[in-house]
Amino acid sequence: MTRTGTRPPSPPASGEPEPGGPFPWRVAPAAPAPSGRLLASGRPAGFVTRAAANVVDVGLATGVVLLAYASVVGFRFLLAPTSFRLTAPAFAWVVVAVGAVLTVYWTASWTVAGRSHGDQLMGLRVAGPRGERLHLVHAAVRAVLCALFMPGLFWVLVSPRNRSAQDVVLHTSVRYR
Amino acid sequence: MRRALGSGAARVWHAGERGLSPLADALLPRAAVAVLSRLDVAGLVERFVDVQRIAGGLDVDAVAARLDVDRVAARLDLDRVLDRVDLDAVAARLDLDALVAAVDIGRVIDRLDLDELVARVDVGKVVDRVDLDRIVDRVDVDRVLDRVDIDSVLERVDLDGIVDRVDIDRVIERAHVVELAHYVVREIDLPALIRSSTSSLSTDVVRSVRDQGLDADRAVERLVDRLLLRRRGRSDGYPVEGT
Repeated sequence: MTRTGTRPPSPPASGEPEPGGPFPWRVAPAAPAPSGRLLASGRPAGFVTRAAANVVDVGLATGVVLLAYASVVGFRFLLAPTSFRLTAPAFAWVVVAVGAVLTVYWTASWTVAGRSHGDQLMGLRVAGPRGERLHLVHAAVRAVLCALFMPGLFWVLVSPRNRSAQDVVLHTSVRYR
Repeated sequence: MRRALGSGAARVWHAGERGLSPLADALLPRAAVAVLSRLDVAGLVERFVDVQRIAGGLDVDAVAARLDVDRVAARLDLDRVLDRVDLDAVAARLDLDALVAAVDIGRVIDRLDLDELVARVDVGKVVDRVDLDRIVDRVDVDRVLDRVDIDSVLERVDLDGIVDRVDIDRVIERAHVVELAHYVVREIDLPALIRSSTSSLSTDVVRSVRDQGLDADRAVERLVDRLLLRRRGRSDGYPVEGT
């Protein structure tokens, strides 16, 4: 009687044994090598990640403004559907609204969690002079300055400690988590 | 003279015989009974008769041939005979061990026609009367399995041949694959598995975005530091490659 069925290969007779022997699927997966992210944890964040986090936050604030505008318009339509006319808001008002929402949002998120959703996505946190979380006034002032003068972020490019203009003024920093 | 005397005596004898004969017939039986009653006939026979010699001269076969055994048997009242036999005493005196020891079992077995015996046995009825549950209860299955060399049994099994002969289509047809799939999905909680893997996927995406952002940060920093001729890189010991 002969058997032609396939069997797991036997381990090599000499040399180093194969990891897991004839059952390579039994080898535990290798531990992942420490990423550069872990090595950079706690260090000042660079321009690209901070800009990306700001873009996410501005997008969220814009979405909130749009949602609020749609709600107001819908409410107006329900009140006077026959005389309803869709009017586009002035761009300046949109900018002001987005800036206001951003200010409130950043103040709340930096105070409560130490990071906004953009920071969360990019793995950042906003810290005070000694690395602590910002208190309410500190966060509010920083939020106002960031909303009023967004180009201040470009100072990160030239700052030797990756600080924006607002960070220089308020002694704050944005660090990798 | 003598002849005349002799014939005369004979005539007298015959005449006497004729005259005395009735008398003798009447007296002799009484005399014989009286004599025999006073004699120990059995003792005399035992003493003077050679019974063995008489028995030796008997033609037993002729006697047996003349016996009407059927009539004898017909006249026997077997019930009365058996009533008078003390069977318990007979049984008590029987040495059964000696009897059994005297039996030649081998010859008995040789004369037995086992095929005919087996042919007469109603195996179905025998099996019906067997209490298989009791037999199985008394079997020590663990000991039986311990004595079985499973490896050698499996070595002798041609699994490929068995698989070749299996009608997979019929197996699948009878397997209720859809119900089986539903059962497996329910058991492994596939929705939770998908949620978990989706969460893992989103985590991987976020990690990738962060890593790419970090790499972009370092690339931009290197570029700016080169433009600014900054040789020591950024502060707090964060190294800048290529400077």
